[in-house]
Amino acid sequence: MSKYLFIESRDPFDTTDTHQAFGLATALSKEGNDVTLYLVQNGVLAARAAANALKEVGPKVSVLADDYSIEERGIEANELAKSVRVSDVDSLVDLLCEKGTKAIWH
Amino acid sequence: MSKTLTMLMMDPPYESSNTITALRIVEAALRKGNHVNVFAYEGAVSLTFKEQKKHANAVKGTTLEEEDHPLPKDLVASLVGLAKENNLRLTWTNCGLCVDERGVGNWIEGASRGSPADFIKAVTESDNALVIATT
Amino acid sequence: MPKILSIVDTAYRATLEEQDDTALWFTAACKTAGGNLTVLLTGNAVNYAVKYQNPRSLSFGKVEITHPEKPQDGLKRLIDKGVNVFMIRDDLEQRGIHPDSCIPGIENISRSHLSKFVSQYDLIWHW
Repeated sequence: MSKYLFIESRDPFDTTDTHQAFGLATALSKEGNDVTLYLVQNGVLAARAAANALKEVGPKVSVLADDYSIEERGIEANELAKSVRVSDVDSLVDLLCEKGTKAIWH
Repeated sequence: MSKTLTMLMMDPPYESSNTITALRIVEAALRKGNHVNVFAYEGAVSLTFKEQKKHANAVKGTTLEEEDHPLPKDLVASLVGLAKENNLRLTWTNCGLCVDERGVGNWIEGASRGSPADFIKAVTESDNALVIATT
Repeated sequence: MPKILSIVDTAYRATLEEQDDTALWFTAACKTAGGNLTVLLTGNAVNYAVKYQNPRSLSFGKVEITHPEKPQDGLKRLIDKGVNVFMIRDDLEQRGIHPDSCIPGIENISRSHLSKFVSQYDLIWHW
């Protein structure tokens, strides 16, 4: 099984592509792969619980949100969906540098 | 142990939030002791153009000094310096044909001319390769 | 040499003034340099497979864009170089494109098989 890192930079309300990326991430996780979804830039607009934008992301996908992007957009900690963990660029680099990780920027 | 990350950037300066995120990744990778190869493709070749200039901001009422407008060439130069200080490798390769068609060959020290062949070579010698295409 | 999947997702981006699709061009250049690449057309890029695309030359006063690329020719070049090209059938159907109106040599896959498809590759580049 493999490691996948989806770096989602787009607002899910702006483009249907994001939902397809979420769908692929979920399918890969269901097949037993280790999948991380790192939300960055407007991708963090999916992170608010009230947006209900992550419902199609499977429970085994680890969802991280970039701290800088979150703060830049004034998203408060108590607004975040339960499945979202705030992360940072250092952690993103660690994920990128993990051997065999397939990194996909969207 | 140092890892090597290769990245491709495509966005021209000031057009996309991809640029700063990519530079944040480069900065973090270097700060954590890793080597980085950047291949600047298409509009991203303008990031190192030496003739970028700061400006004042009449809308905000700031002078040239007050505005202190960030220039991508300075950000890249600083990252090149950061790598050097820490005995790390940051290669910044501008796609030659992309440079020619945009007329931005006057670049800062630390950048060089290359082609997709250089990118593929870097990819095979890296721990990972990330393509950040334009939207 | 890693197995690389180039997913081309956005079509007609600067293709007139570049006289190329920049993602397909890059893929071809990497292939020439020894890369092991496969192309997957998704989203509106599936339209690149359509046989009869015909961007005309354009005039801007005295200056012309004389050879805008026909994307189907860019794909044929890749296929001739030995690059396998695939496209997502669902994206074709969504856009009302009949497979008969596409150039030969491109295999259709269903979106439901995409996860299995991408798992064959070491690196996945999304353009």
